[in-house]
Amino acid sequence: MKNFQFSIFNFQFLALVFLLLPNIVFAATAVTEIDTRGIEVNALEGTLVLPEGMRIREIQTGNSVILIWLEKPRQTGNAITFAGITPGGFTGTQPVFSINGDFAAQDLDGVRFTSVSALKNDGSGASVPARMSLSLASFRADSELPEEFTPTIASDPNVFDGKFFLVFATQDKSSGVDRYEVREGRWGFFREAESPYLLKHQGLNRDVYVKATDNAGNERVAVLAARVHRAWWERYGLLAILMVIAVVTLAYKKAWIRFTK
Amino acid sequence: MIENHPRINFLWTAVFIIAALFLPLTSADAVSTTISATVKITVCGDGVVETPEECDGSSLNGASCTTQGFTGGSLSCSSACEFNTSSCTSAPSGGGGGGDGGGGGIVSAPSTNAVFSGKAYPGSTVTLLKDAQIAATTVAGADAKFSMNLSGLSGGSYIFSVYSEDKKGIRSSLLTFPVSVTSGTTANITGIFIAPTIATDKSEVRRGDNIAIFGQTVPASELTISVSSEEEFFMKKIADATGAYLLNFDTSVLEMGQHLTKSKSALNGEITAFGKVVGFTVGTKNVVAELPKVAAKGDSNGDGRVNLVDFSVAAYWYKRTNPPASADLNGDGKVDLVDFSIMAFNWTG
Repeated sequence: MKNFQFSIFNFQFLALVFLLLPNIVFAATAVTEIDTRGIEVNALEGTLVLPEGMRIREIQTGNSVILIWLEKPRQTGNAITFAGITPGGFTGTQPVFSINGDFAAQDLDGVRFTSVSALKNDGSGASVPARMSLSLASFRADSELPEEFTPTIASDPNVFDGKFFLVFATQDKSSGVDRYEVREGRWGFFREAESPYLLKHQGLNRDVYVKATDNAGNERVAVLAARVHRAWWERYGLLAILMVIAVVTLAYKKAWIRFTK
Repeated sequence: MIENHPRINFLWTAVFIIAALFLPLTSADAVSTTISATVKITVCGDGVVETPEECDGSSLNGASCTTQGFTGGSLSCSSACEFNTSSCTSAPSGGGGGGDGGGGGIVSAPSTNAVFSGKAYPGSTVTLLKDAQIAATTVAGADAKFSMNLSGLSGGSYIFSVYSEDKKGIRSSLLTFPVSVTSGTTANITGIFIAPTIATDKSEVRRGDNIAIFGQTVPASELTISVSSEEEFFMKKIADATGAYLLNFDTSVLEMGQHLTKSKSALNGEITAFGKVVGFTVGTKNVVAELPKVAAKGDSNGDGRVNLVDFSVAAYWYKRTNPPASADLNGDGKVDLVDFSIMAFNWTG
């Protein structure tokens, strides 16, 4: 009898836990996918609207079918907007981006996509009735660096008043590229930047360093050599000044010693 | 019964605490359900390998150190359901040691590679794009065959594309294929068959006159050439020893107006998709056509290529007013996704 009563309560307890279990909010990952319904698509934009209370900690673009982002997925309020292209196009069901955060499977029911536009890969810019979805996925650890890349310096009369600008992009197959930073010259700090980036030093006489950092913090730095080589005193200006100071100090010291003798 | 009370109290206390914790979430869930999302749940740690997991627990999905490019050792599965090759070993690449019987080997992580092979046009330059950027170029042999190796890849999904230019400088359509590369392995992509190039000798042809449709493909392959308007005509031709083909098409069967032509090629059971589409008009006079301009639309800086630089120029004008014609590809007075779609179609890397 004792055992029976215990089992009843146990059962009630477990039943309640079981009923409430799907509503437990825990760290989860979900992937946004596009189904092109068999039509080749090369451009996609849209907005993912999240339900109230669905907390997103991170958006990852690793393994995305979108190769070049016009608007990298970014959360503003409860909406994530995105736009990008895939030269050559793609078909089928393909990943667009992943979200990591605190949510349960039920939260995904409250998600909706708005202003979705998928365009046909035929040069016409015609719309395709693609379908977007969001589903739970497993989280992928990332220990690899972003891929090697080569920044390019370009100029165009229609951009930045014809001044030189820097173009760069790379891929990270696991967690996706989080940000780029640029430094002009050997010294100084990296500053966060987006491509195209207007070069501060239009003389093109400094090496340009572009750092890509993925969402796991792995970094890759690409270096673009200066097109115009500066005179040695310009390149090693600080060193030259220090050497001059040292020589002057030494000479002054010797002169002082002679003078005091 | 009395001696059970403490346990019962504990259970009900636990129930109430859990209920109090979770009920607010339950009421919030009742707000709205609007999308018809397909929910696929993959659980890392349940021992079942599901996409995109490489492994799960002790289940390695038939993989071993040797399938991962090593020569021995023990493959395991990480907590993220990815292969852990830290206990895999490679064969010694260094020589044996001296008299003391030493001689270690160097254990290096296997590289991730891809090998591409297929057919283009005899002597043509073949360009391989990796995720929209030029990764390699090669020249096809006299038999139109080519092969390219790509190393230093990461494990993951890539979108590779290839295109070629024929002897007249006419560019093929972009042949795109997604490839999932496993870390530490070499992916072999064979059977690439680039579609024929195509051009016409007239942009407008007087009805009843002939129009020449020509291009290049693999030598001795069979071409299917389509001319379409309301009715579609299919003609067959065999490419010569240089891969060139020529069809003189009698336009008397066509209505006045705009028409399109395209071609595909077949050889030994392999077949290409239809290549680029070329338009011409059947009218009242003959107008000589120029050869298709290389990378016309989207080439904002006029370097004959459509790549990241052109993208950057257009991206600068994205959603800005009064864009230049070089960025506003469809001439609708704004730079939006449509312009980038046109650019992506004409992409050369």
